[in-house]
Amino acid sequence: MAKTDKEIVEEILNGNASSFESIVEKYQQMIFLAAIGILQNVEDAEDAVQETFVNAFVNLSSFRNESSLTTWLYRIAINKSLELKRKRSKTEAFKVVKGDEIINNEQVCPSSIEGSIITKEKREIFQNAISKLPGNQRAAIILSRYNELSNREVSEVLKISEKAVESLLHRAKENLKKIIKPMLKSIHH
Amino acid sequence: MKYWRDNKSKRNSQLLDGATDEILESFISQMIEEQKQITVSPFVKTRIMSRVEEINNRYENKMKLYLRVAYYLCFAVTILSSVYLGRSLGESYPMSVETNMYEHSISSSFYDDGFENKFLIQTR
Repeated sequence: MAKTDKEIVEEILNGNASSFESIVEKYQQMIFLAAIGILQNVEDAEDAVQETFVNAFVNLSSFRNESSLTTWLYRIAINKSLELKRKRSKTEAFKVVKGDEIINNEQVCPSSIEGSIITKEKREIFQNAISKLPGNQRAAIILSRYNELSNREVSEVLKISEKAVESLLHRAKENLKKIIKPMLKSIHH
Repeated sequence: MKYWRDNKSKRNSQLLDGATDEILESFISQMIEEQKQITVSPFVKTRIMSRVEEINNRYENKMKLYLRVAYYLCFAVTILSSVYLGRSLGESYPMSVETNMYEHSISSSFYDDGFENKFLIQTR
């Protein structure tokens, strides 16, 4: 029978650090999705995943089982990703590692190259738009759309009311549209 | 190159012509779905576990150091307290013995004539 999160956490707190591996394996993809949504960069997202789990391990004794482990991990991931974003935004322009890989695989005929270029530009427009959203709106839309959490779950992670989440999501969507429209226009002109 | 640019403009204009909310929303959904397909590198887990092990080892070493310091501290405290106890006992106990011995020696030096005589009389 598979162990519950609570049992694994107790094992780790009793000195069995290797049990942490099962937590990493179980939750790394969902944390990665949240991180990539915020950071829009694979390498940075992987760094954020690492920082999230290391932080969780160090502070595991402060986890009081009041919320679920996933909520607690999401909270750390969002904070770490936003922190990393703030640090990197001043120094680095965003990179699309995976995106470039996709384009390289599609370089077969001119029509597919053309398609790839358009896809890449679309991707850049979207990444720019997401990056321009305020932190709380970005976090809300990422948890809701990337991680497919319900409004209640998002409210638990962000420690706000469900109504506030609804409002954040609505504003995020509207802002995304507002940002994306002129960007597409500028490319057209 | 010109061909690509022309076609790109054509595609974008097509996108913009009907840039209603629905199209923008489907564009957003498409981009999100695309990003959701990216999977985390398997090396991330290894990186995390090596960091966790490093932290754990550092913590264990720190604890070992604390235990060693605590052991030597206990040893020093035991020795110091036994020296202090011995000294304080030594200071109080020999004083009374010395005093008694002194008094005894004085009394015997004063009255030993009488004892001696009595002893001589009795033996005689």
